[in-house]
Amino acid sequence: MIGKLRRYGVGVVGFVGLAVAHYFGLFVAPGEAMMGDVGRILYIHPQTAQASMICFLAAFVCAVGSLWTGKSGWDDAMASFAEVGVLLGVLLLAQGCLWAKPTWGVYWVWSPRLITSAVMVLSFAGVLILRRLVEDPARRATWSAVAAIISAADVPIVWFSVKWWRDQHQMQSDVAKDFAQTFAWVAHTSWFAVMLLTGWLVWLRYRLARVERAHLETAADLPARAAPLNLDGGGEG
Amino acid sequence: MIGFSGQVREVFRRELLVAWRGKARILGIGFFGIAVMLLFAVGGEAAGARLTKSSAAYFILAELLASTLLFALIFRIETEDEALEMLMMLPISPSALFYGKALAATVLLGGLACVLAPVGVVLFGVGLVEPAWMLIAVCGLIVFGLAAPGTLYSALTARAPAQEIVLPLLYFPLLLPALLAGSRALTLVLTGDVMTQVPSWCYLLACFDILYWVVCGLLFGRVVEGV
Repeated sequence: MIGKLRRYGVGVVGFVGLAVAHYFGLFVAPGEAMMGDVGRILYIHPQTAQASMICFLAAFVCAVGSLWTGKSGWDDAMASFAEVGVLLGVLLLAQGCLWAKPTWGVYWVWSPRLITSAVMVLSFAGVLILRRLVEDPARRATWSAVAAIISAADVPIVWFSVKWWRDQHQMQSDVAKDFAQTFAWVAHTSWFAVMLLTGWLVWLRYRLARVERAHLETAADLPARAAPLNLDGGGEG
Repeated sequence: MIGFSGQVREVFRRELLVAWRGKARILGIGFFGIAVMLLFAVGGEAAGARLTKSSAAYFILAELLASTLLFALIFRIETEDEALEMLMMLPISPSALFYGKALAATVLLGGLACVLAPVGVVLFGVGLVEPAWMLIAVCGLIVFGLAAPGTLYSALTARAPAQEIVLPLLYFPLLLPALLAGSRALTLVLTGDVMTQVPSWCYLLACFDILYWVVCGLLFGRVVEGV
């Protein structure tokens, strides 16, 4: 019971928090002053963006750790953060497209913010595919760490792009300024819920990666330990 | 013992010498780029696209696709007869090896751009509205942006299974800034930059270029150790 609570508790709290924030954000809070109902995306979009960027930055840290120490735990953590980051990045781009259509009239514009975000997600997707193609664990760890570090170099550019190249995309949201204080808690709740869910997914993926690695290592040892099976049917008798 | 810049210079010279000796391969890549531009021109014309407006994007796409062939080649040559292992035994730092190779790739890609540009003028009927130095600056930034990640990923995928899949997968996303900002900047150079937008696109290109050259240079040593 405690094990299940520990395993799923954070996720359940995250989902409940997200549901509460969505309910208040969609049905209770008033529409945004300029954008109206479309502005309700502010209750989920910046949070998703921050969570994905945190995942990619964490993947970068783990990639450096993996190159530095050569320990498999860093490599598994890097892969976990990258996977969840890509998931969140895809969600982020989808949310942005849905918001852009009624606001800008198109799903996509060629603004530096959008370009750099798409590059970030695609780069990490490439890292994940590279991991699938390389079978040797040592090479996979080194190569994917290198690719992750290069991909992560895009993260600060994504963050500062709206300041460096002012275009259609608005500046980073500031809960203290952009929200009426009555409903700032909704944005905060959504942020905590997204972060909890992100952490939970990363943790689940990391555990799975550790189990997979242990299983593969055990399987690799098996032929040496077990006597070979005779499948030809030709026995002693 | 020669210094870092001397090492870079020696590797650079060696790379250009190798390219010169393998002229047939380099020429093949050039013809591939021209063929791609021709296909874009035919396809665009057939689809009723305004070729003049899309010419910058077609030019950069041809350069990108041809560069993939070049980078697939650069380190594959090194894997033959254990050339890379012997190269690593020389008193040359991996960073110098990277910068030498990347600079040579920049020169080769610049040469490719010099071949493709007149072909584009003929095929797409474009002229230069802004000064020529702007065209050279934008093309230079694009080529620099391709060379660093291409060289690194060339080394990384040289002995990877399915290099033809892995190299574009890793390389293409990193090229999006060069493709998008480069296309915008080049289009403005060819059609007129009324609102002075070229510098801002050049800043974007330059940012990615600096980032790629620094980060790839730092990581190259780990990659060649693993190869």
